[in-house]
Amino acid sequence: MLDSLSHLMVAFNQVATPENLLLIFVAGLIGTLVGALPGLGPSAGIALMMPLTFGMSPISGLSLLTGVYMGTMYGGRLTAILINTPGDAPAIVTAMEGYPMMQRGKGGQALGISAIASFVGGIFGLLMLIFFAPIIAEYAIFLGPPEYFMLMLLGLSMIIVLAGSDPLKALIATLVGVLLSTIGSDYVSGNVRFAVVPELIEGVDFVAVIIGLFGIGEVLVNVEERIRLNMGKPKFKFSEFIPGLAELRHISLPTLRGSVIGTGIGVLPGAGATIATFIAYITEKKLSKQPENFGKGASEGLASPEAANNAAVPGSLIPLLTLGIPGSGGTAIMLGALIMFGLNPGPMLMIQSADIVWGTIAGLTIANLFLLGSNILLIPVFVNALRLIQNHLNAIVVAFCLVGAFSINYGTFDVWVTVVFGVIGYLMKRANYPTGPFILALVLAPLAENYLRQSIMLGQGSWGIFVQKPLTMTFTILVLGVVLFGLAKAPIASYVNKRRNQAA
Amino acid sequence: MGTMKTAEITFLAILAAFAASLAIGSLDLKYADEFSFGPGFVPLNVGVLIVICCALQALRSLAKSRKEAAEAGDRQEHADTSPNIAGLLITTAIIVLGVAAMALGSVLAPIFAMIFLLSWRVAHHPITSSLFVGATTTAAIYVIFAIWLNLPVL
Repeated sequence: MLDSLSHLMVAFNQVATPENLLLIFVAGLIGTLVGALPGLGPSAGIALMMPLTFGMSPISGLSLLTGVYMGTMYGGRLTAILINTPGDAPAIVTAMEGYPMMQRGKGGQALGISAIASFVGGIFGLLMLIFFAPIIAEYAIFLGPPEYFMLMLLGLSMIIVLAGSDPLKALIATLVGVLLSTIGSDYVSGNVRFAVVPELIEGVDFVAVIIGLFGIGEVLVNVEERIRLNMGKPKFKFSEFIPGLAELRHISLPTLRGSVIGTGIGVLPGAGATIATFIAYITEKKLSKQPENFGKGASEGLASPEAANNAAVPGSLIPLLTLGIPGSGGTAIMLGALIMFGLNPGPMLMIQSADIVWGTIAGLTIANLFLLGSNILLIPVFVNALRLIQNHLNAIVVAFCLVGAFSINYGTFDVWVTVVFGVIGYLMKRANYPTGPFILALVLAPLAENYLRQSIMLGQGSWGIFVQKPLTMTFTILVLGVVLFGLAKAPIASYVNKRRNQAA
Repeated sequence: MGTMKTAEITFLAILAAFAASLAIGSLDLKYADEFSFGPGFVPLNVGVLIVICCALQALRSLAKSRKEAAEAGDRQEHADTSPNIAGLLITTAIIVLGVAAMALGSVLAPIFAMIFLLSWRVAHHPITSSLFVGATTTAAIYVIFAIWLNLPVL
């Protein structure tokens, strides 16, 4: 524990340069705005910012990306409370209590409470990351290729089962990600697979894919659906943003509960912030002495999901930084960023690149502090910026996406890849296919394929290696359990519904 | 609902064609050797699996849309919420032509043109406002990418 703190202190010294502080502050502001805009979520925010990190040091680049990630979690609540339009999926629950508070003239208080709860949730999640990540990393170095392959398979199967209501669609998205990742050099055999043009020898560029999918794809959907924000001109006094002592006492336990739920759910692959917010909300409603107030502006129903939402971000970074296994689309993009900076994600990351990992955690802590301040002091600035940007959002996003794609290799090939994946992203959105499993598979599949091959070689051609050791067998059973649950989920739900209808 | 079904069928057709072509291409690659599998193992199996899943999903989607069409009956979509297909096609055309124009050597000039056209023809802002947004966004991109990050974007 003391070791973690000393690492963190050194990292704070490294990160706290004027340029880095300005970068983290701006990243938080951009993230807040992106999060507040319906249609652009955390993945879009990180994807759009990725080209900006090309010339940066890994600590600055990762601080920028994690700052944007955290900022989007704060931003989603703005439009949810002010105009009942959640900026992203986790903010749906925020709108359920925040908007009624706004209608009752307590909008300022709702924004203040949600900002404080978000801050507490974020800090709680970070504390868990700071103290538990090194412990997990210590044990993770004993895992071999079979355990890693099974862990990755577990992550992928969980995201297929948990992402959305249709596992077949999630499976298709995952398989396409796997297939796309096979294009380019195969480092085990030395063969080049499906490289029809020289630019594909190194594979399809991950950054070009995510910019297209989350940037251009979202723009096309926004244009088709005529998405527009009518921000109005809400006026608040500064004092309204700061809740009184009685209110703070009232929301303290719900905030803590939300923080625990958010961190726990954030660690699980596939679950993520949205599920965490719903579980936190339901928990508070169950525990409340006045559940009838829920839906009418109950502050505990606002605070707990907001804390859960922000605690899920550091929670999801725990498996990413310790095992190199992302649990969501957002963290899969972060994994792509780690690889882009030349780092080697996995159990050795916290040993080989400790300075960068702790620097990123320090950056995230500073971002959380900045975000608390900016989300209380700069609400009018955000409202005006949203009003200004919204009118020209699509044109601006397209411009940044295409220039970002050009910056990857200073050629138009990656720009075309971005355009193609923009259309694919649009089709996925329109047909309701989850993008998270696709991105996760695209990033994880090359690593998983290598681990699988190494495992089979270790087993001298036998697949029995996956049931030989107790730990490997446990992971194999877990994977089978998740797959069986996925297959049985729909028939069980349909049987239960049928019985319920018959009883009614 | 119609757009969604068209989008899904188009999407599945693209995926199935992509998966089939890679699966066929992987026949030239080694599938397995004595101790492990070769570079053709994953693309062939995954490609075949995608084609099967796409066919299955297409059948499910068609059956579902038939059922929904029967249930929809006299429901009519409101004019205001109808999809902006014209806007979508214009946006796609502007992006494709803009990217094609980048082959002439400049990046920022087509970017300016794209922002201006998207703002003017798709978002229907006044021409002066569109020109202003185009100029300021292009200038911001130049400052961020070319001056701050020192990337050759001109």
